[in-house]
Amino acid sequence: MSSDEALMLEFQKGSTEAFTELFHRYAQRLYGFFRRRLAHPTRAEELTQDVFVAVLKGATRYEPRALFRTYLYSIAVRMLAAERRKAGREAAREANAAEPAQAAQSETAAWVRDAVERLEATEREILMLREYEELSYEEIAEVLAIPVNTVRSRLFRARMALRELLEAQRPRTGAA
Amino acid sequence: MEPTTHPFDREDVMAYLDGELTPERAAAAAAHLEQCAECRALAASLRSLSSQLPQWEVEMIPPAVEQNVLDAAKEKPVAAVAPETNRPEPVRQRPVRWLLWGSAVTVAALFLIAVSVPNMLRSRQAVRLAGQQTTGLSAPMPTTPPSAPRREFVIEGQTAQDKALAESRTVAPAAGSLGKLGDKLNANAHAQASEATRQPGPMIVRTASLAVLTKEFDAARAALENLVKAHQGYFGQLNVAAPAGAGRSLTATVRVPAAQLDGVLVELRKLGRVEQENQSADDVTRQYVDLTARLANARETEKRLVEILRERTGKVADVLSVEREIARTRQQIEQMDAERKTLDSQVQYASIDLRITEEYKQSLETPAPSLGTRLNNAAVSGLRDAADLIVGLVLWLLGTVPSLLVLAAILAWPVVKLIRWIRRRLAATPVAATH
Repeated sequence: MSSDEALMLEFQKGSTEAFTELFHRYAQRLYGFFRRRLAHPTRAEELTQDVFVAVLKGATRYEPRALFRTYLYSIAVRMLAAERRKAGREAAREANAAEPAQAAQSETAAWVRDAVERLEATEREILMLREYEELSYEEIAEVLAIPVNTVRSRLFRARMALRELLEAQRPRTGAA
Repeated sequence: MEPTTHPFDREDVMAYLDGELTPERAAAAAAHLEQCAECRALAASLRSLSSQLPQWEVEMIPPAVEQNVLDAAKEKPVAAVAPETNRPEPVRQRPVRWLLWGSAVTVAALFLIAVSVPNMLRSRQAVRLAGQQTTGLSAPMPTTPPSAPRREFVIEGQTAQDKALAESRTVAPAAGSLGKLGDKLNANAHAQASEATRQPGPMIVRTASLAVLTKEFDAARAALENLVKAHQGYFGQLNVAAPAGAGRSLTATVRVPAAQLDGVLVELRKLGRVEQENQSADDVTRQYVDLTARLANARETEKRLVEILRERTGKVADVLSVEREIARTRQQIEQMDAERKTLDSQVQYASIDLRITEEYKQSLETPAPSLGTRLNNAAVSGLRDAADLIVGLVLWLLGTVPSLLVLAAILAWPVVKLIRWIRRRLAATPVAATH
């Protein structure tokens, strides 16, 4: 199994297969990234697509100094920020992922989602990058351009807060 | 449990569960958790928290996305895609950024105007000077003593060793989470490192620079080429310049086997009068040993990780994290390997920055140009100068008028105000007073 970085280098040399492999490795994860942060599934789809197109376009500039994952999520985070700015302007309200998503989710899913969305924005971002995107502290620090120590302390605060929030709103198990 | 005597704070417990502690710290944390009920409770609650989060699931990505993206990939082979400048930026962008950009551009435009005027004058002067040279009025160009470029190596020393340690640490936690292999692995890596330290002989990167003044340039050049060939060396780079009205010069970077450097230098000195010579030797043994040790560590780590992946079955998340570590380790290995090869080649081949200058004899045999020719030349160069001046002016105007207009637009209002004010003042003053 070749590493993401090796695949990216192969792709730079023109191997479309390498890119396909990278796509398969990250498409679902990236889609999850946007899906959990945006209200509209179609926007999540489009942005996932945009990230990969950005990778395509930027392939010549990619240097294996950075991990491919960090590179990819940096683009994703940037696009998400742009998307939220736009959404904020359009709707003339603070851009927020805390938009109730489709009701197609189970009760426990909604419970977790609601609790996560109540977290303070940066703490939520760090927690989600850790729990859902499974980035290391260092990678989170790089993606969000903040120090590793900050990642660590905020992640801890986020988890403690989330624990409280989950406890406070635990759905009545057994009922329904 | 006093907080002061407590060896691990609550964040450490979390970092331990996330596999973010160094192997030693992780082992200590594991031992501590066995004993401390409080930390155990915290760990349990953190674990249960992380296990609840995946309940927020996301549906599968629609297949249309794959189709679109892969189509785009096939459409645009990498080479055909023009690089853009959308480097990933940190998230915290402010919408006011364009304001900053705007003011920066304005400042740059003003600066350009300020700079372009004297610059233009200077370039006119340069053109005139060149013209004079072509008419044969200037003396032979003075040969400036060549500066001696020197390759420098920063010996990383302590930091390199630290890095090696840190690397073995970052790699180990994934293994630790799969079993208690972390410690064993680390011990192994250390053994390897100490083995690699016993590298025989110092590693010296030698560089020399030499400037020679010769009377027979062609002979010197031929001799140089033979010399390099005879010593199994090669030219890293070779430039010959033969300006009119001055001696020819040759600058070259010669790479020869390090053992033969002294012999080559001796022969090079025979090419003419040595104007300048410079030798330096950088000891990169430590750097090299560090690198070798780190490489051995990384290779060992990779091997262990692959074994872990093959022999152990764990949760998907664990398997993935091991695979991630393998990928990362592999990348490190490749980088270090390349670095080591570069170092090897620098040690094996010494490099000489050579400059051979011809001792220029003002040639007497070419007669001075006749008066007619000189008049003709002066007239031609005068005309050319005039034409250049006009073209330069037009170019300058084209280049600066837009910015000047902007400037004028900005300044127009206050200037008009000022003029009106002055006129009013003049009108108010009695006419007699001006006499």
